[in-house]
Amino acid sequence: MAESRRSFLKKAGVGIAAVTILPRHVFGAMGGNKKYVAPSDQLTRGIIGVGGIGMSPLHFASDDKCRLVAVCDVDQNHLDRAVEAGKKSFDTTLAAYHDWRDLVHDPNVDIVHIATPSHWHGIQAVEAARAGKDIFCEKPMTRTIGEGQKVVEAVARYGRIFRLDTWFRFKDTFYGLGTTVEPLKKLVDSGLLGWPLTVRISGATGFAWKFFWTGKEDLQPQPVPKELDYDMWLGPAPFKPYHPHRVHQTFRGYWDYESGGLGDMGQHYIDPVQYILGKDDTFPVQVEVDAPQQHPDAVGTWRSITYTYEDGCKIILEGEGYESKGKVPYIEGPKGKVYQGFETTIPNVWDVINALPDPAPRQTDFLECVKNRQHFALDEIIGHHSATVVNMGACALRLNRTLHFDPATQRFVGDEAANLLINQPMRAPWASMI
Amino acid sequence: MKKIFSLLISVLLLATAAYGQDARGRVPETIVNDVLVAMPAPDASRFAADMKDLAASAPTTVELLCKRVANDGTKIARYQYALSGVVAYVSGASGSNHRARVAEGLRQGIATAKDPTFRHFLLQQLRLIASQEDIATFQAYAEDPEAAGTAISALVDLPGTEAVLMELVNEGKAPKAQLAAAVARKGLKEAEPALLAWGPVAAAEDKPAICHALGRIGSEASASWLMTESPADYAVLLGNLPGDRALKAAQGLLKSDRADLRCAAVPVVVANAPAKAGLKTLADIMKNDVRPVRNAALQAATDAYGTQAVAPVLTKKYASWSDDAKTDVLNWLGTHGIRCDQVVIPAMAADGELGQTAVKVAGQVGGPLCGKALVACLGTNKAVPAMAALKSYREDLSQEVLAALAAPKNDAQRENLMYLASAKHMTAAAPTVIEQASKGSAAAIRALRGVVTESDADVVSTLLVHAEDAQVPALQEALLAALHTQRPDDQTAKVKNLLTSAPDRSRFYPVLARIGSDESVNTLRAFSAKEPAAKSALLTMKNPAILPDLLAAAREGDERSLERYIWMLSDSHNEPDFKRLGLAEAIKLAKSPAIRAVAVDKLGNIPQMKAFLLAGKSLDDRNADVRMAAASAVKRIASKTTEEINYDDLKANLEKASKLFRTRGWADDGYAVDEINKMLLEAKPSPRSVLTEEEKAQGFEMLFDGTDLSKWHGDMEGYTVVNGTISVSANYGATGNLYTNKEYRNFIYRFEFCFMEEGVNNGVGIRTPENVDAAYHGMCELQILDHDAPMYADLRPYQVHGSIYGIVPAKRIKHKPLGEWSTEEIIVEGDHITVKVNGEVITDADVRKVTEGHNVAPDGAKVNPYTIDGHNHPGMFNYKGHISFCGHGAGLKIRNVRILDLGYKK
Repeated sequence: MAESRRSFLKKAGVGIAAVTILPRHVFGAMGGNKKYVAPSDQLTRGIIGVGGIGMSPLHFASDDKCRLVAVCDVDQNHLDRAVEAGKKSFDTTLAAYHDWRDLVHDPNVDIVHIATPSHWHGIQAVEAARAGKDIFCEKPMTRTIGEGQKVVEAVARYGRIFRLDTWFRFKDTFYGLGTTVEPLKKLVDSGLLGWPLTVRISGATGFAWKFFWTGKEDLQPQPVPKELDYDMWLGPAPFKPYHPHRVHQTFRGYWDYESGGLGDMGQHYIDPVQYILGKDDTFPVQVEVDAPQQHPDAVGTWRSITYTYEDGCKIILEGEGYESKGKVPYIEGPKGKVYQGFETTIPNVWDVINALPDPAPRQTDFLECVKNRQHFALDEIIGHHSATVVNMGACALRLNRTLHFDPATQRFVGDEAANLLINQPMRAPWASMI
Repeated sequence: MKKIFSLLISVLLLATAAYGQDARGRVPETIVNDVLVAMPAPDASRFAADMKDLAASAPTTVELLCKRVANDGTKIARYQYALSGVVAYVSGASGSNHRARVAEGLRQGIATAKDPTFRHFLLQQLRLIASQEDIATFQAYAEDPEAAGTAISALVDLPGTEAVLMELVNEGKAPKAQLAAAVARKGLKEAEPALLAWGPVAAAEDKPAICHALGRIGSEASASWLMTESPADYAVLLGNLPGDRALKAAQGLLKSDRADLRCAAVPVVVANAPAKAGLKTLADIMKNDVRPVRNAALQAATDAYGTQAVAPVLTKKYASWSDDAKTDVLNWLGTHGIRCDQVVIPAMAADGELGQTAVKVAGQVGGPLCGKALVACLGTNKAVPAMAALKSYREDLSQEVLAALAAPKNDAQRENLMYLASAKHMTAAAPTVIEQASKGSAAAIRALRGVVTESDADVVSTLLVHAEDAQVPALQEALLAALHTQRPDDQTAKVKNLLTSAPDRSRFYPVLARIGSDESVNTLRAFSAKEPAAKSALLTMKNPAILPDLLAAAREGDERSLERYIWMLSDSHNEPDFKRLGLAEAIKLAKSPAIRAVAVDKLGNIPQMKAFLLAGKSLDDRNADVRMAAASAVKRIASKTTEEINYDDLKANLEKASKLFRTRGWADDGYAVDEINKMLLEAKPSPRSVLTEEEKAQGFEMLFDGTDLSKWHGDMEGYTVVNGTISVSANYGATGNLYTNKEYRNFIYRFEFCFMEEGVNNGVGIRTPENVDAAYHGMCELQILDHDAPMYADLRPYQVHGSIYGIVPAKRIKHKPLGEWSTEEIIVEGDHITVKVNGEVITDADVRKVTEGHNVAPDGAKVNPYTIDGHNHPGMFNYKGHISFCGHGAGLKIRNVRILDLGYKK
C-alpha cells in the first residue's frame, strides 16, 4: 500500500514514507487523456466558510496539485450550494461539515483554508495547527493583537506552514501605484528617496477605504433563519440578538467581528507597505486617530489614522472625503517622491530601477512550501505584523485617542484600557483555544 | 407605568439635587440631556469636553443613562455612545481621576439592568476600567450565560483575583471551558486537581480547554492523562516539568510517530539539556528525522545557544547527512546570513533540491566567491536559480560578468550572461552583444534592449531592416531603448529619418507607435490610408489623439479597437458629455457582452444624471455581466453626482440594481445593497402638479404634470424630467427646442419657471413650425431671460424677459432669487399677446397693429422699418403652430405647464 503524502507530512516514520511512494510509471496505464497524478503527490484542502471569498473561483478550485475534499459552513444553504458546485465543477462529492472542528480533524485534509469572518480566524488557525494541519488563511489575519500572537506561537510550536492570503507584496498591480511593489521596493532600498519615508494611503493616491462598510445602530432583533446556526456563527463573539445585517455579506461593520473598511482593506494596503519599508519584523510605536466618536458595536468612519515607526517612518491613512487636496505623493522621503501611477521626482527612474538589484527572491508557491516545509513568504509572523498595524488602528479608534506601542513586548505603553483590547473576552467554550 | 416613571425621576432628581450642579450650573439631568443630543461627538476635543462633563458628575450621570435606556425602548444608540464614551474617557490619562465614580455608576446600572444584552454591554464597559472594587460584580456574573466570558476575562485581567477564581473553579458552576481558560492565563497551578477531575467526564466541547489549561499549569500528575487525551498539550506540559523529568519526557516524545509532536518536544529537550547534549540531539535529529523536526531543532538550538554555537556542529557533521538535511543546513545559513563558502559552493554542484538550494543560498549570503560561482552556474543546469540569485545580488558583479562574457564556457552561458547584462543595464557589454546579434543570435537580439545607447541606434536600425521576421519585435524594442533618453519629438524625427531609407518601412511603424508623440500619430495617420500596417500600428498607440481613429475602426466592426476606445475615452480628459455620448455609441456598437459591460461600467465614472439614465437601460441587458456593470454604474453615479436625478428613475434603477446585488450575493454585495437603501431613503418622491378646480371647470389641459414629456417632442437630451420639473441642460449636439405635440392658434398658456444659474436664456415660441428660429419664423418668441444678471448689462429693451422678441419690449421686472419659482401666463388671441409674470401684466400688445401689418419690409428689403429690431419676421401672422421652449443653454427649470385651447375663431 502506498502511504499517502498527507500521512507522510504529518506522521513520523522517520523517512520511511519517502520510499513507499510508488514511482509514477506504475500508474502510467491508467490515465487516458488526463495526466495522472499519484494521490501521494497530491495535497488536499478543506475550506471553512463557503459563503463569500471561499466560493470565489480562485479558492473554490480543485486540481491535480491540490484537491478540494471538504467544505464547512454554519449556513446550510451555503453548504448545500458548495456541495452542489463541487459535484458540478469537479465531479466530486465534497465532505460537508457543519462544525469546523470536524473539518480540522478530518484525516483526509492536509490544508485548512480559513475563509470565515475574522473573529474566527485566530481560533481556527490555532486549532488547525494543534491538529497538525497547514493553514491558508484569508485576511485580515486576526481581529485582535492577542489572537495573532497565539497563532504565531501555535504554528511555530507544531511546525506548520501558514500562508496569509493577501498578495500585493508579490505580483499584482498595487492599486494606485500602477505597478507591482517591486520597483518601489528597489527604489526605497537604494536610498534614493532618502529616509525616513512617509506613505499616504488615500483616495488621493489611488486607494479606497470603502467607508460604506459600516455597521448600523439600533438593530432590532429578528428571527434567525432556519438554515443558519447563529450561535455557531457567533462562536467566540459576544452574544447579540440576530439581525441579518450582522452576518454574511455585511458582518464587517461590527467591532465584534471585524473593523469595517480598515479591517477589510487595511491588510491589503498596509502589508505591502511594511514590506516596502522593511518593517516586517517590527511595529509602529505610535498610532494617532482623527475620527468621530465610534459606536461600541457598529463601526463608523474616520478622517485619518497616522502610524509612526521608531525611525520616523510614517503611514498615513486618509479616510474617504478627507483626502489631501491636490497632488500628493504616495511615498515621500527627504530626497524624492513617488506619486500615483509611479510618477516620480527621480529623473530617468526606470533606468535607475532597472540597474538596481532585484529584491531578494521569495518563496511564493504555497503548495511547494507545504511539500518542502519551507516558510511561505507571507507567513504567520509577517501576517501578524501587518495585522497588528490594522488592529492597533482599531484600538485607537475605539478609544478615540493616541496610543503608544512597544514593539518588543507588543503591548501599549501607559494605557491599560488599550491593553485590555489586545485580548478580548470570548464566549465558552471558545476561549480555550487561544 | 407612567406614574412609576415620574416617581422614579423625581427620586433621582432629589438625589442629583443633593449632589449638586456643575460649573455651568447644570444638574446631572441637564448634563445627560445635553450630552445625549450631541452624540456621537464629531471629533476628539468635543468628545473630551462632553465626556468630562459626564464623568465629573458621575455616578449620578451614569446611573441616569442606565436607567433611561430601559425607558427609551428601541433607540439606544446614543446611550451606548455616551456610556462607552465616558468609559473610554476615564480609562485614559486625562479622565482617570473620575474613573472610580464612573465605575460606581456602572455597577449600579448592572445591578438594576433588566435586559441581559444591555447588562452584558455594561459589564464589557466596566471591564475596561475595572479595579479591585469590581471583583464582586464580575464574580456575580461568572455563571451568566451571556456575560460569563466577559466576567471571567475581567477577573483574569485584574490583579489579586486568584482566590476568587479558585473559588469559582471549586464550585464548578461557571462554564468549564471559560474557567479552564482563566486558569491557563492566570497560571493557577492549584486548579490542577479540579481540572483533572473534570477532564475525563467533561463535555467534548470543554475538553480542549481543560487539556490546554493542564498543558500550561499542570504537573507530573497531569502527564499521563494528557499524553493520551491531547498529545499536543502534553508536549506543552513537558516544558513546565522539572528539568530532569522534562528532558526525559521530551526525549520520550521525540520517539512519537507524530512529527508535529516531535517538533513540539524539541525546544523542551534543548532548553533542559546541557549545551553539549542539546547539540548532540540536534545532530541526531539532522541525521535521522524528517524535515519539520529538523527545522524545529535548528530553530530551537539557535534560540538556545546562538548561531555561533550551532554553526560548527552543522559544518562538522554536514558531510555525513542526507541531501535533504544538507538542504536544511543551507537554508539555515541563508536565513541567518552566515557566509560559509566551503559548504555552499561545493553544494552548488549537487543535483536536485540540494544544488538548487545552494545556488539560492549563495545569492542570499553573497560575497565575491559565491558571486563568481553563480556566474559560472549560468552555463549549467542551475542557470535559472543562479539568474534569480544574480539579479538580486547586492554586490556589483559587472567585472565578473564582462570577464566571463569575453570567454564563455558554452553558448548557454554566453546567452545567460547577455541576458543578465541586459537586465542589469551593463552598457559596457554592448559591443559584445551587438556582435552576437549581427551573427543572428536570438538571445543577443533580445538582450540588446538593455545594453544599447543612443550611439547604437543606427546599428540597431540596420539590424532591424535586415532581420528575420521573428527577430523584429526584439529589435524594435532595442531601437526604442536606444532612443529613449531623447525627447519624443526627436525620437520621432530620428525614426522618420531612418525609415525613409528602409526598403520595408513598416518595420518602423510599431516603433513610431510606441514613441507615442503627436507627430508619430500624424505620421502614422498619413501612411494609414494606404498601408494597413501603419493603421494597425496607429490603433495600438496610447496617445488619446487617436480616439477618432479608434472610433472609426470600431464603426467598421473592429471590437479590439472598440474596447481600446472605451478605456482610452474613459481615462481621457475630455468633457463628461463627450465621454457619455462616446460610451453610448460604444454600447450600441459592441457585439460582445464583455465589451458592452466595460462601456457600461465606465459610464459609472461619469457623475451625471444622463449617464445614470443611460446606464440604467443596461440593467435589463440579456447578459448577466452587463447587468452587474450597470448595477455598479448606477450605484456609483447616484452616490457621486451633484445633479438631480428624477425620483422615479432613481428609484426604479436603484431598486433593480439592489436586486441584482442581492441575487449575486458576493462577499461585499451586502454593502452595495446597504448603500443603495440609504440613497433610496434619502431621496424624495417627485411632486406632481394638478389643475385647480377653476382650471378644470374652464377646460384646461395639463401639458406637463411632473411625470413625463409624453405631450412633447424635440430635444429630449436637453429637456429632461427631474423631480417634477422639466430641467434644461446644456444642449450638447442637439437643437435646444422642445415642442408641444399639438398645434395651437388661440390659447391661455400657464407655467412656472425658476432660474438655477445666473443668466439663464430661453424663450417661449408661439405658433412655430419645427426646427426654425421661432422669433422670426414662428409668430414670435417671448423671452425667458434672467435679465438681472450682470452679463446682460447692455440688454436692449425688446430683449428683457417677457418681450415679444424684436417687436415689443416688456415692462422690466425684477426676478426672484435663483432657485425660487415664478408663475407666467401667456394669452394669445388673434394678433394679441398678453404676458403676465407673478400676476403682473408686463406685455400687452397687438403685433399687427404695432407693425402696422408689416411683418416683412414692404419692398422685400432685409431691413424692416416697422420692427424695432429692424428684422423681417415672416412667421408673425402664422395661422397656427406649436408652442415651444427655445433653449440657449442650461439652468432653467419649468413645471406645472397647462393650456386652455381657445380654438381658431379669432
